[in-house]
Formats: sequence, C-alpha cells, structure tokens
Amino acid sequence: MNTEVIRVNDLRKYFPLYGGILRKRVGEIKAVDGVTFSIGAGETCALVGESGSGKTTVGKTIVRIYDPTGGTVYFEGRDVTNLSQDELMSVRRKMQMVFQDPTSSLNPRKRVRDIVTAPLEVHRVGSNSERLARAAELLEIVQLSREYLHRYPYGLSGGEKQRVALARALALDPCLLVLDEPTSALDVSVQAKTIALLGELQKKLSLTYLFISHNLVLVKNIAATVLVMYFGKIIESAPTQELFRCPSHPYTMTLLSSMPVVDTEVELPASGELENIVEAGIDLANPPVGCRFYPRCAFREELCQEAYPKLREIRKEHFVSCHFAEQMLT
Amino acid sequence: MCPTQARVAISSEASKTAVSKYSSVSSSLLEVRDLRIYFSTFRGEARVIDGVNMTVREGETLVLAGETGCGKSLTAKAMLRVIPIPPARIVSGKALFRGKDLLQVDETELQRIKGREIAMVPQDPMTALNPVYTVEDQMLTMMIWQGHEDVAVKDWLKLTRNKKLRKELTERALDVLRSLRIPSPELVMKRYPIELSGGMRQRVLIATAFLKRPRLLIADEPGTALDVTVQDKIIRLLKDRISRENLSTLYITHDLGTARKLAHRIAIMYAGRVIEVGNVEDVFNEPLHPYTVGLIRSLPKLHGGIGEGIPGMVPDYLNPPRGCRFHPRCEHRMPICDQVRPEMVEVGPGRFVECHLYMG
Repeated sequence: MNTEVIRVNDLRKYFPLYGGILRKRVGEIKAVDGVTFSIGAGETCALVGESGSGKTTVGKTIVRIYDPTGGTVYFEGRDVTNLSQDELMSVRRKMQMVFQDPTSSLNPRKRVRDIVTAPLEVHRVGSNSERLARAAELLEIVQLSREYLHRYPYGLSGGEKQRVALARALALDPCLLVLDEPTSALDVSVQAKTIALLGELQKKLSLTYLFISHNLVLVKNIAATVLVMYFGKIIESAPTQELFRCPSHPYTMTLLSSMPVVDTEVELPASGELENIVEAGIDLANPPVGCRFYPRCAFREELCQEAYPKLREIRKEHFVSCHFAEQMLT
Repeated sequence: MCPTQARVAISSEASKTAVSKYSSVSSSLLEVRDLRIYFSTFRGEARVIDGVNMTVREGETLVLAGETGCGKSLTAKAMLRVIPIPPARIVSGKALFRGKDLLQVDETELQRIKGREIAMVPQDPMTALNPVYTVEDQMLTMMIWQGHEDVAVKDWLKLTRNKKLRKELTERALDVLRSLRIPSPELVMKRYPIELSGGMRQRVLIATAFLKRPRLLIADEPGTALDVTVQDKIIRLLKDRISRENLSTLYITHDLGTARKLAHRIAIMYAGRVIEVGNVEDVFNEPLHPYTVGLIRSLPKLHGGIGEGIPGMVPDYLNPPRGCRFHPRCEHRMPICDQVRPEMVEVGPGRFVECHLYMG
C-alpha cells in the first residue's frame, strides 16, 4: 500500500490565447497552476471541483493527452514528463483513462469488439484471434455478456456503454486508471452498479484510481483521499474521513453544504450564510495575486486579497490553502 | 392604459385573492387522470405513458421523480400540448387545470392559459434562450405578445412602437431580475445569452417564467446542467419564491436529493406509470414500492455507503412487460405480477402505492 504509483509535482498546464488580426499569442489561460499530489498503489484518490476548475485537465495531462507546461509527473518512480512518443507507448500501457460521456467516447461506426481490441492493435499485442479472445474475457470482467461483442454502441444503454469504455481501458492491464466523471451521465441505479463494479475491479486487478468528480457525496463513499480544486489550484486535500469531519476551506464548506443529501438522519444545512451571492469566476489569464476564492468568500479579510495562501498542513495529512483555516472550525 | 398592462394588473389581482382563498382548502389545481400517450414508430407502437394519475394541490410543490426515459418530462409536455402529434398520439386521459381539460380546450384558450397561468422553466439553460436576441428583447417580446394572436400590422406597429409600454415592461422585467438577486440587472438585460454563465442563464429563464404571475409553475429539472453550488443557489431562490407567492409547483427531476430539498409531496414514476406517491419524509423514511426502495438504496449517502443498484434496465416500450412493468427487475416478484397490473391503493393517509405486495 505504501508504494506510490503516481506523484505529481507542481504540475502546470497553460493554454495559449490568441488575439489581434495576426492571431498572435497574447496570453495564456492558466487552467492548472501548480498542482501537487501523489497516489499510493491500490488507492482511490478523488479530485473534486466545479466545472472549469481544471480537474479534467489534470487527468488529461497525467496520461499525456496534453503536454504539461511545467512540473513533473512521476509514474512508478520514473519521470514521465518529457518522454518521447515511443517511450510514452510503453508507459501508456500502464495508465489509461475513462471519459465522462460514454456516447461520444465510443466510435459509433465500430463494433464493440473493435472498440475493445483497438488498444491491443495499437500496441501490437497478440494475433487477431487472441485479441478477440481477450475482448470476450474483458467483457466478462465488466459483466457484459459475450453477445455484446458484435453490437454497435448505439444499441447499448448508457451504463453498458460506460462498461465497454471501461473494458477498453482495461485491455492492456493498466495499473492506473484516470476516471473522468465516469458516472455523471448515468442514472442513480446504474451509477450504483457501476461504482460497485469499479470497486470489485480495483480489488481483483489491484488498480489505482484517480477519480475525477463533482459529486462529493459519491466521493465520500469510494475514495481514500480527496483533493478539492478551485480554479487551477488545489485548495484542500485530506483523507476522506478527515475532510468530511472538519472541512477547513470556505469553498469546501460551501460545496459540502450545497450537496443534495438524501440521508434522512442528516440535518439539512442552511447553506445561505456561507457564501456571498455574487457569481464571479476569475480571469484565468490574469489570476489575482491573492486567494482565488476571495470574491465569493464570506470570511474574507484584507490579507486574502494581498497574499496567496500557501497550501499548508494544519493537521496530519490535512492540507488547506486558506489564511484562516484554523478559525474556520469554530 | 393599454390593454396588455390592464390585463397584467387584473390577473395579478385575481391571483392574489385566489391564493388567499384557496391556500387553506388545498384543493387540487392540476389533476392528471389516466393519461396515455403512445408513439407510432416503424417497429410498432411504443406505449410510453400508460395511465398516469397525479394531482398538484393549491400551494404545494409536487416533485415528479424518476430515471431517464420514464416519461416524466413527456407528461409535462403533453399537458401543455407541446409534443409533436403525430408521431405521438394521446390515447386517453385528462389534464384538468382548474376544472378545464388542457387536452381539450381550443387553441386560443390554451394560449391564454399557457401565457398567463402556467409557466414552465425548461431544463437546459444553454439551449432554451435564443442566441441572436438580447435578454431584454426576449423578455419584452414575451410580455408584449402575451395573449395576442393574429395581430394586424396596425396593432403590431402600435405595440412595438409604444415607448411608454416598453419602459414600463422593462421596469417590470428589472424588478423580477432583481428579486432573483441577479447582480446589475440593467447590464444583464443588454447581454446576449452567450455572454452569461450557465447559472445566470438559468436565472434569466426563471425570471422569464415569473414575468407573469403564474398559478402553476412547471420546472423541468432546472439546474441539473449546473454546478452543485450554483444549483443549490437556484433551488434556494426558487423555493423562496414559491413559498412567498404560495405558488403551486410541479417539479420534475431525477435527483432525489434535490427533491428532498423542495418538495411537499413526491410522486415516483417508473416506465410511464406513477407507482408511488406520498409526503417527502414518508417516502424517504419508508419507501414502499420495490423500485423506490432500490432507487433510494442506490443513492450515495453521507453515512452508510452506497447500494448496489437495481438489476436490469427500463423496459422496451414497444413491448412492455405484462402486468406490473417493474416485475422483471423486482426482487419480490410473485406469480401474479406478470399477469395482472396492480392498482393504486391508499395504504395510509395520502400515501399511495401501486404494487401487489400492498393489495388486499
């Protein structure tokens, strides 16, 4: 459990911004701006944040769909940040991604068997018949019957499509899966089934998950650690129990109190007081010097606008980026 | 005073007195009886809505909850007659709004009711606004043309050139925007939808629904496309507004967590039937129908983990299961279930369930 599968150090990803008549580069969108974390083998780490916070970009940069602007990614102790395409091939076998929308991540013109065997083909694994056998085996792993092999994605329900996407990701026996909101397009009863399946697979194949989600209640049930992102930065990270027991960043508190909760024994919080009503995103091309949550924060002070609160450890393994984290608890 | 204005004033007066008169009685405002909508397809007839019954009482919020494809949005759309016919076919049923059957009234009357008494907040804030007009244009147009039909050129000129009317309507629109706590509403009015964030667009849509003083608000999953913090804000605003105006609401959602925040009563829908009705706390504390039990069990919880979901999937409407439509997925299946369709029975005060387990 103690070996780290992935360590991300000060990861940055900027997207260029073009403007003017000559489409010159006029600036950059700092989508991910200095993210550091690590995940141990066999663990599930959740990355939480609202849309536009850069959580998907982190996932995509780790599996090198995007090239990072700065920072390093260590995969199983090896620096994989600047590998060439050839070297990447061998690393990619071990880390795969499952995307949010199963409908658009599966090629509608290919049969399930072609979709699932595509990674094997790319990596030149096995002969045709071996690949087909592997595809059947994979479908069994994700609990789909063998007859699905010859069907097209349009004939499948959302949950089944997501299983096919999962089978494709598992084709090369990876050890890290980046799951980008794998259940947000699914109904709750199907979501529950998919989550159960993911849990089973993790045990059986000793997988490590980076689970990207916006649903804190869901995350509470599956993750060992939670990272909360806000506009390109991690603002709080802690073991799950700890985070839910004492959230210490005003944003995390807002997020928690606005979750629709169904447990009847849980008192519904009055979320109104936690946040200013302004709906302000921040300009990621010119991020403010101070705290990025400043415009929405109900506890803000002058200091927050002037200095960026560094991520610091307020309790064991509990990191918060807020000047007044200690006061938040009272 | 121009006609539109007079009508707005009168209808607001009328609704005020009506609300105070009815709120204590809690009689039904909208009653859907045995609604059946079939779609003809190349492969046969899809029996999508198959006998829906529900009631929205005066001053209450009824949540219609169910999973994708169970027909909840379709029910609402059918009531307002905005589904394409054909391929859809209304086989039977009534949708009584204050005693008038919305499915039978003539077009003019329907337009009048839709224009003034029923407001709908659509699901997707990204597509519901017209991208080539400013918010102001869209809101004013709605108010100016409410209840007008077959307008002659003369009237058209009169209405569009009437500066005084425009100014008053703009004021009214600004008031509504302000009441929804939209920062700097004057600026928002001049913007195109693309310049607004998702939450802002959804608020504009809600504002548009409140331009008139509706008796019934139909909200089709507002906020599902938005972030939780924004969604929470929208729901609080909506709830606030509903309780202030004592508005009757039909709230359609697949998110039971949201349902719990808003509803007085909840109706659970499965495969074109309403299968369970009750007060919100009752349904959450003690779900009766096996489907509701499974649904509530599959929700992730803060305490006590996540369930294992419901096996199987929503049936094919072309060839729905005989008897109870849930029986192929049901863990309490009995021999009778695939033979006879269960009837809705009242198991407690205001607590209805459609399942053989609770019959006789």
